Order: sequence, then structure tokens, then C-alpha cells
Amino acid sequence: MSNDKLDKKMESMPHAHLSPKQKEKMLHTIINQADTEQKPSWKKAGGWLAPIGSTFAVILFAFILIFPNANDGNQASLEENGPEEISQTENVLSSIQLPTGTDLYLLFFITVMLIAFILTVIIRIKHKIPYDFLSVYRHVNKTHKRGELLLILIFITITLLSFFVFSYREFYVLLSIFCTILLGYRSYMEFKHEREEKEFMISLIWGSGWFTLFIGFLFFTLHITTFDEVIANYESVNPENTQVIEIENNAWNEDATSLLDEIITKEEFIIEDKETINDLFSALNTMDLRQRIMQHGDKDNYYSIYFKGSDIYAITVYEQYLSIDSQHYKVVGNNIIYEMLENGELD
Amino acid sequence: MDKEKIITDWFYQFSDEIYNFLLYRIGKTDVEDLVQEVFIRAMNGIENFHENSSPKTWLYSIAKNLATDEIRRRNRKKWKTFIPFKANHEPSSDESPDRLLQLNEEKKMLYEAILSLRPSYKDVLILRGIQSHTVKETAEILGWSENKVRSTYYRSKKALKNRLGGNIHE
Repeated sequence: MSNDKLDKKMESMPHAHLSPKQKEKMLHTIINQADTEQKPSWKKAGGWLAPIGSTFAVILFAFILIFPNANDGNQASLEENGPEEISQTENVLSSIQLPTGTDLYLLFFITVMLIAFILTVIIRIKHKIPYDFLSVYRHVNKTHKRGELLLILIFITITLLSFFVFSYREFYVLLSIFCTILLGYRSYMEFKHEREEKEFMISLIWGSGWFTLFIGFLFFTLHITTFDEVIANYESVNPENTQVIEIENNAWNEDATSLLDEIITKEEFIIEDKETINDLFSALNTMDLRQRIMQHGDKDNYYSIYFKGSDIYAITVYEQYLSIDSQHYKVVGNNIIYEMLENGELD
Repeated sequence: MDKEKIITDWFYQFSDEIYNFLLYRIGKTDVEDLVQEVFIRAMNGIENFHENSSPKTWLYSIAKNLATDEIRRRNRKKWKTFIPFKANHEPSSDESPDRLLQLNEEKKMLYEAILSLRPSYKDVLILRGIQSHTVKETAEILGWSENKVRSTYYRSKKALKNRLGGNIHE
């Protein structure tokens, strides 16, 4: 068929018309609705109840997680140590003003997510971006869908490899990298193909939120501290004030039949010799530490060091970790104190 | 002049054309709401309209953007689950416009072939081929250069012919 014939065929396509009655009705609606649409519509506020409700639920959940967490570290052993230690522990806890360790991670996470959420609400209202309650995310196109699927597969592979091959436990760092890349890619695809929907702004905000989390987590996990810095809050923990140190060597019992048998005490000894106490402190002071979340598997064999008469409850020495007042630190380099205890140098 | 009066004038002049454009572009009969929306948007944004440009091409460009949004919204709607939610333009029927336009078998085939093409080809075929707009008008509506209109129109006709194969009687 020639181009001319095709042109003619297209030109001869019929045209529909609106009836005069329809036109009257439509015009009436246009004049009326144009006035109302100029005012910002807050009627859809009901749609926001779901995300606001979920945010409050998340905050509540986080608080439930944070508050018992602050006490967890000492609760298990309090029963064994009588009211004196209980009151000491309570004093220590009340002296802590800033969140640390897991609490700090959670607080940081919630703050960033809350700011990102508020920003998305503002952007949605300002640009009139609809929020589809309980809808499944629809990808822009097939390339987008395949791209996201590929990213998810890469993330799962890297996570499994890092966990099982390289024993990397900081899952949340990987998750923050993954979410940053995924949301960055999503916002790019939405910007490229569905710019007028403005959804890319929302993805960009969430992506930036995850990027902030990644930077924060990186700072937390790479930041090196020393024993001196950690115990700076506890003035009485120093070689001068410490007269007696009690050390307990514990191990997890793999054949345990009840909760009471889970930990076995292998050895217990008391150090009263001033020189040995000084050696212990100087060994502790030489160690560089990084705050970390500890896994159950890292707790095989450990030593609990009790400083009698000081305002710190206990320091637990694991093969690669140090636990001070229920916060966990990974030892950078050799764990000299663990080696000393294992070799019986402090006995 | 009062903006209500301007819109009323434009509505009586161009509503049928816009209606037809949307009818062909979306491929569904329930486009009255969209025609209304075109004029509502025009009325709200009339301050940004430059007097020296043509109201017809301006209205068409609004209609074209609305049609793109609407097609996406309808595709997105297929993904909605659990709870039905209110949308601005809920389709009232799934009837195809071939009945409304009373298309015969041959024209129906042509119409369906146009609908199956990519959006840019559809736009240019409807505006240039069916509605006989000039190259300049089409370029203004689509925001393209005149050369792009010419080349895309040529390519879209080629694609249309391929799609039709030998099905149209000469």
C-alpha cells in the first residue's frame, strides 16, 4: 500500500462528537471544579493515616527494643551478686546519659528514617503525588524490573559470601549500601521514564536516607576507640583505686540440657597483687577497640573480670571481643589480654 | 476578558477535537472526564498561557500529557491489590471506541494497528494522519522540532504498514 493511500485511509477515519447536552454538563463541571482545585486539597489526609500509624508502631517497637536492652547486660548475673552489686549497677546505669552501642545504632536509624518519612510526606503534599495505600510497587518497565531483581540477587550472594566465607557480621552496613544503590537506581529509572509522576523525588529521599545511614554505620564501625576512652566515664576504674580483681573463666556448654547448665565455670581466681593489677591495666590500655554487635558464636570461651569496689560492673574478655558494661567492642589486632589469661600469665 | 468566558469559548471551539484525540489516543470510550480535566487545567493555568501562541495547540499539549498520565495510571491500576481506592478518572466502561465511532472491519483493523504502536508514533499518526494538523501545529503540541515530526511521521507510517501487512484492501 502506498503512503498516499494510507494517508487517505487515516483522513477518512470517523470523528465522534459530544452532544450539546453533554457539553453543557461538562462545561458546568469545568467552571465549578476549576475553583475548588485551586485550593490545596487536604481531603486525602485519611490516606496518610496508614504511614503515620506505621511510623508510630516502628517508634514504639524501637523503644521496646531499646529500654530492655539497657538493662539486659547485667540482669542475668545480678541474682548471683546480691543487693550491693545491684545498687552499684543501678548507679552506673543512671550515670549513662548518651545512648551507646546497639541503642545508638537504633536511635540513629529511627531518626534518619523519621526525617526521610517527614520529607516524603511534605514532598507528596507539595507536589500532589498520590499515595497508593497497600499497593504493590510497579516497576517503570521490564529493564527496571530486571535491574532490581539483579541487584537483589547480587545483594543476597554478597551477604551470604561475606557471612559464611569472610565471617563479616555487620549485615546492616551491607543492607544500607544495597538500599542506597537500589533506591538510587529506582529514582534514576523513574526520573528517566516517568518524570511527570514525580515519584523519583520520593525514591531519592529514601535513597539519601539510606546513604546517610551507610555513612553513619561506616563511621560507627570504622571508628577506633581505646580502653582509656571507653572507661573515661568510670573514674574509679584505675590501677590506684583497684585493690582486688576477681576473674572467672567461663565457657558455653554445648551439651547443656537446661538453661542453668548453659555456662560452665572452668576456673575462678582473685588477683590482689598490685603489680599484676598494673600489668592487667597496662595490657588493657594498649588495645584498640571498635564498637561492634556481637554474635552468639563469638562467645565460646570467655573471662569475666570483676573490679571489686569500683563503679564498673564487669569487663568480659572474649577471644576477639571485649565487653564493657554490656557494650561490645572488637579488638583491633591481637587480643593481648585474652592471650595473657589463656597463657596463665595473671594467675 | 473573563477567564470563564475564554474557557467557555475554547470549550465550544475545541472540545470535539480534544475528545477525538483522547478517544483515539487512549483507546477507551470513557474520556469525557479527561476532556473536562483538560479544560480545568487550562482554566487554572491560564495565567501562564502566552497570548501569541495558539490556544488549540496549548490545549492539545495538555491533553497529550493527560493521556500519557492516564495510560500509566490505568496500567498501574492492574497492579492494585487488596483494597479498591478512589482515582480521579475511574473508567466507567471497557468498551472500545470502534463501536462509538462505528468503524467498519477495515477501519477497525487500522485503528487497532495504530493503538498497538509506540506512544510517539500514535501521537504523530493521530495528529497528522487522522486529525490533519499541520507539521508546525504537531511540532508545537508535541514539543518537537518540525524535522522530528516529519521523520517520526514517516517512520510511524512505515511501522503501521508493517503492522497491517497486506490486510488493508487497496
